[in-house]
Amino acid sequence: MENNPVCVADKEIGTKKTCVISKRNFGNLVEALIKNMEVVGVKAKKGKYVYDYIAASDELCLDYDVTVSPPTKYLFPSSETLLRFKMGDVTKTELVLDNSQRAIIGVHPYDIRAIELLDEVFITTNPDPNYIARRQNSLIVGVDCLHPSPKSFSPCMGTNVAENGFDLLLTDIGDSYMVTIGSKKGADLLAKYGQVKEPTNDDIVKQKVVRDEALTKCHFKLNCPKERIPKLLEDSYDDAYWEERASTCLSCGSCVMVCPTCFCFDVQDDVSLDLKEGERVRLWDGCMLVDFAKVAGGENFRHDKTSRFRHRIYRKGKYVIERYGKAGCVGCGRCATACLPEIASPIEAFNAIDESYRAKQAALRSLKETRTTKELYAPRPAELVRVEKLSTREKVFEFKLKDGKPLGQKPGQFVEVSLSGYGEAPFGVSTSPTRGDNFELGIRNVGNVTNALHNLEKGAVLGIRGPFGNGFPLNTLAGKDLLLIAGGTGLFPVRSLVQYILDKRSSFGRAMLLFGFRSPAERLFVDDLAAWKQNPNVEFFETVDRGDSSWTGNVGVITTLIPKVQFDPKKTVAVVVGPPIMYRFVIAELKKRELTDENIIVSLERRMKCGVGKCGHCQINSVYVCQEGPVFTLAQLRNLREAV
Amino acid sequence: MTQINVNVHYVTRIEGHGNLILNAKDGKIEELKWEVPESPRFFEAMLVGRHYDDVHHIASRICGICSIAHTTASIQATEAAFGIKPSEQTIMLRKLLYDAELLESHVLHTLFLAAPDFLGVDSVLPLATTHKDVVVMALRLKKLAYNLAEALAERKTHPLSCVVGGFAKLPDLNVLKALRKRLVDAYADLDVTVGLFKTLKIPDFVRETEYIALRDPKEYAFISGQIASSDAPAVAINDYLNVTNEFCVPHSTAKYAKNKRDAYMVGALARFNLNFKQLSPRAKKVAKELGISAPNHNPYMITVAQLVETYQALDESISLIDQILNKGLKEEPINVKPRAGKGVSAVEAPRGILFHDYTYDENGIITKANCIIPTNQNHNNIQKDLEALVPGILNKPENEIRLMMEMLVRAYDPCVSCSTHSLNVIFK
Amino acid sequence: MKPKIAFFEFTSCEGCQLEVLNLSGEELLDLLGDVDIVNFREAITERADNYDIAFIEGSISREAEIPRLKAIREQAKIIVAIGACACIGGVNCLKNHLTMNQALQMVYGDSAKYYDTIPARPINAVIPVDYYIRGCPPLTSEFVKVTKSLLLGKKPEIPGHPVCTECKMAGNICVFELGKTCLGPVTRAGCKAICVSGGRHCWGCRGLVDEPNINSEEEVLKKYGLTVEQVVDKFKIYNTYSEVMR
Repeated sequence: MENNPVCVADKEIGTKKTCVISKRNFGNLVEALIKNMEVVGVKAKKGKYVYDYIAASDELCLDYDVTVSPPTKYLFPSSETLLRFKMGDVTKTELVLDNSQRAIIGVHPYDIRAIELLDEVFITTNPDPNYIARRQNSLIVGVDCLHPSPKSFSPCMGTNVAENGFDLLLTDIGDSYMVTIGSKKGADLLAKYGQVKEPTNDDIVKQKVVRDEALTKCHFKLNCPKERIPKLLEDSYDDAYWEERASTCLSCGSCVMVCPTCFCFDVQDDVSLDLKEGERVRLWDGCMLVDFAKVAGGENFRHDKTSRFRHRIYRKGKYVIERYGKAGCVGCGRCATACLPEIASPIEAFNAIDESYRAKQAALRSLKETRTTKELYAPRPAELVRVEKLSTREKVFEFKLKDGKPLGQKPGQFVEVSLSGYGEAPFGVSTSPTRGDNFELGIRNVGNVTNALHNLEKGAVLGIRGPFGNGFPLNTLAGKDLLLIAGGTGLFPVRSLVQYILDKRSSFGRAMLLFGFRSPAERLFVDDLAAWKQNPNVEFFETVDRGDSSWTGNVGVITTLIPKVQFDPKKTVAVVVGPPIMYRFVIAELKKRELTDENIIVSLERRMKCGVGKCGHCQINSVYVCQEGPVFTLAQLRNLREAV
Repeated sequence: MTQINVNVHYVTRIEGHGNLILNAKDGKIEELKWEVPESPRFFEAMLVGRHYDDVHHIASRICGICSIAHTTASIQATEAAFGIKPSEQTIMLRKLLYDAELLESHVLHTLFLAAPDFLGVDSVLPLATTHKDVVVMALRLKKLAYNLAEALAERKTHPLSCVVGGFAKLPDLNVLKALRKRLVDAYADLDVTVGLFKTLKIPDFVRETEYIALRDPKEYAFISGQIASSDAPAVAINDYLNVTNEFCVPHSTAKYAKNKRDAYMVGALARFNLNFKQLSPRAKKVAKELGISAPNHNPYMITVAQLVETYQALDESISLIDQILNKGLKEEPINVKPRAGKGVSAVEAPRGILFHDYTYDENGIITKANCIIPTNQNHNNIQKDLEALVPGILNKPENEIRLMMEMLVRAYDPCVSCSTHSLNVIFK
Repeated sequence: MKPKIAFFEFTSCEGCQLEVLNLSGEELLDLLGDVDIVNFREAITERADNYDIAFIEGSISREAEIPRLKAIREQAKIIVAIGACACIGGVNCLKNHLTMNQALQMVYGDSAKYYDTIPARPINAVIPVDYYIRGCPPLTSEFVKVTKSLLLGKKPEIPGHPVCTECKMAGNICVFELGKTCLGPVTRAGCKAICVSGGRHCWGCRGLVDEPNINSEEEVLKKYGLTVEQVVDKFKIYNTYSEVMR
């Protein structure tokens, strides 16, 4: 196969020439095609539209909005044989090409643009014989999209029009079609079967009117110039958007399977039952599928939903256009329709990233303009709705924000509590966001602010800033067996995680709770401890350093609990929170049990004044605990000498 | 002193598990049993609480081989409960789907499961070498029946597209057209089978019993009609419990059934005996060729009656396809409005009459279900046949007695797995 | 030496074995060229107990089945579970929502005492299983594919992605788009979305994918009008035994 692009020769002849064909005559043309080749086109089915075989011209439905799957399947089918072979004899390998003549009727411009991308991918470098055979034997009859689907945004991507890549392109102007001739093949076809006439001025005006009208039907707006998308994405790799949106991703691959610009594939050998010969088969694959980046050794380079989700949007907005010079997303909106959790639409991602980027820029700009943001240091008023004594030194405080909004915390995040005249202090939130809008803080009476807090009564109004920090990495924890180890007030943030796990029980594997206190009198949240002990969904272990006459449970430091639990170090993640002294011993014990540094997670306590990465108190080497922390994996801390 | 001990633990080449026991001493039978060690699957209990749209899906799983029969019976029982009258088109498609199962099941039984006995081998596997043409032909017929079922319901085992109120997907007329041609070609294959069966020696054994099957004045009944008996006037299917009279016997865990006599037979021979006149001319002609006429009281002839019915199924399916091609198919809206009530349905599964009986609440949730499968109705008759057969053959070698007994059970084409399964009971 | 293969069934409808029999003449003869079928009670009378690969259909629902299954594990080098009942428990486990006495009384009334029954379970709850051919019933083509892989000494490729992927490949209109609901987004593929192609929806007969996003699926089902009870009910039919349900 020479480097012989399909349409180059065709393009030069007759391109852009237009004529008019009556709908009836076009029907006759289709009937003539049916006699000569396989004809596929757009048909109505159960209130939707699909590409399917056409046995009679009246089956065609050309005023459709969008088809369920794109016509690219006729050029790059979901499954195709690449070659046949004899077992054990590589010289007997035989190429399999599909040379059947096929007309594809009703292709919308955005799909034509997608075909142009596939041409670029499969023809320009390392020409792909299977694709080329199909492409050369295909006749593409496009039709302008005058009734775009509500999810379509092709005008935003500039793909609502097609200049090339078709043999004929129709525009419905009432009783007839305006025909743009895109190739010699198209011109020949018209000459042979079509009764056409020159367009009148009226026809030309009509075509413009219907096209303009179609443009007004697009409900979307891309908030930045589309040329900016690649750079925007490049700068937004770590944006919170990816994780937030990917959390509901089903990894079902629907978005990539209905995408006209997706072309990833898998190759498998299928051997005959007598084990003597076989076929090498190419099948669609997709970067959103769990196993897509898995190598034979079992390592998966995009094992989490977030990285797969981000990768797809990067392909659509950056990688493809940079590599092939053609749009990676043509705005057909099929993925947005197919995606059940409604997270797949690239334009939504582009706009969200753009907004996030603008917000960052605006913050910078406002600084330059020395305009202050009110919110940063101004606390939100919150009412103390309940105070309860937990032990001699600790109380739990339940707050309700006066603005009626939820705090919006993730387990493991903290807030700054602000008490006018006394100052501010950071506290981990003790309740899970799954437990309603109110939130609780467990607080030990140790300093000025906490002392003042302990003197407050129900009804008091004070200030809250936050939530701050990263919180526990819920996506990493999902599906894993969890070993939660808390000592003393370490239970405060861990409690929110326990609640979260109980409320989303099926998202996590085993939950092993190992809690330790200095003495029975210093136990915290005793009602919760009792309930967890009874809960069949968790494995609960508790110890006190020194017992007393009333205590019948374990006695000993918390490390003595670890040998009591059996776990698979490959499937388990440990979360450790407690006083600094505890970390060293617990970590040593966990290392003995072969947990890797990546799978040991700690939450660090540091002095924090601002919570927003400026004051410098919480800095460990290059890291701000209030920003990159307070939750870290041990692996991250290995490079921070001052951490533990 | 001669002692005969036949103990067949798990009779092979039947669907499900059953055991045969014979102990005889000096020409005297001490023990003679057809044991169906039933391990309950609790479908009736599992159906309670289910939404009507899932009911036939679950009921289909009662039996892999007659899943179309169970699905159809289930759908019709639900429709009866809701007062839904299926359209003419739906009935045609259901019958066509039914023919596919009957054809497949009968071909499987006559050629794969029963024929090896007559040809003196243990299974179809050696036939793959000695009678390769027959095996390839049988597989071709089976494939055809499968493809017919696939065209209508996507697959044969646990069919998909047939639902309460109609069909969720209509078959492609071009596919039906192509199948019609293959169905016509299949006569030649069946004729070869008939030729083969003409050469086989069917054991000569007669025991008259009561025969029960559906009867429909309009046609050779498979999915409609009343419960007809050789001994009594037909009764409405709603009165099925008066016919089946299930009872328990101490020596077996399977339920037994009896009506006017001490036992009755259901299945191909019962249908043949009761509805012979309604067979197609071609099926009647084949019956004559095979030397079977109604009534016939030899249970070994069940297999032959099945072969006759394959012609009936072929004739009916071709005529149905012709009607469908002639009229075309149109998408019919499926409107199901559940209502509280009871619905009973009876169909002729390949191996005999099958009843589904559901009670629904007003939300379309099942509150009570009862299913009576054909093989349970035949157990008692198998036992009575054995009791009549064995004394006359006790003078034969043990192997021969054993084979005669196994062949008798197999002739009934029992489908024990419908509700019964493996049991490791040690029989003495 | 041709490998010897055997088929066994426990509590099931035996539909899986029928699907296996649904080979064309050529395929069956080819298969017989590769292997010796030594035990297949539904189809053949010959029996032998020296087999290499055992295909097992059905779930375990009686005490007496447990030793029989363990004996097969002892003998076979490779155990392949076929069908929903063997792989994930399947519809048989629906009875697990009742006490065994309730179930017995409901079906057998006074005769209940004759029967031995325990909550149904997949075979891997009793013995280790090497490979799974999923589905109710499995596709003949998948049986053929797995068998060929085993004969070639390859590990059979089992999809880790959900049915949606194959459903889109099949060009189906999404069941949700038609206003109905479906378990396809969390159910393991390999069936080519046959149920949706047949005008229906996915019931989850192939079990859940490795990393099912159950929370999101629940939200989607609720968005499409199901109550929590109805969502659970949908999962029950085949996946009663799965961890998600327990």
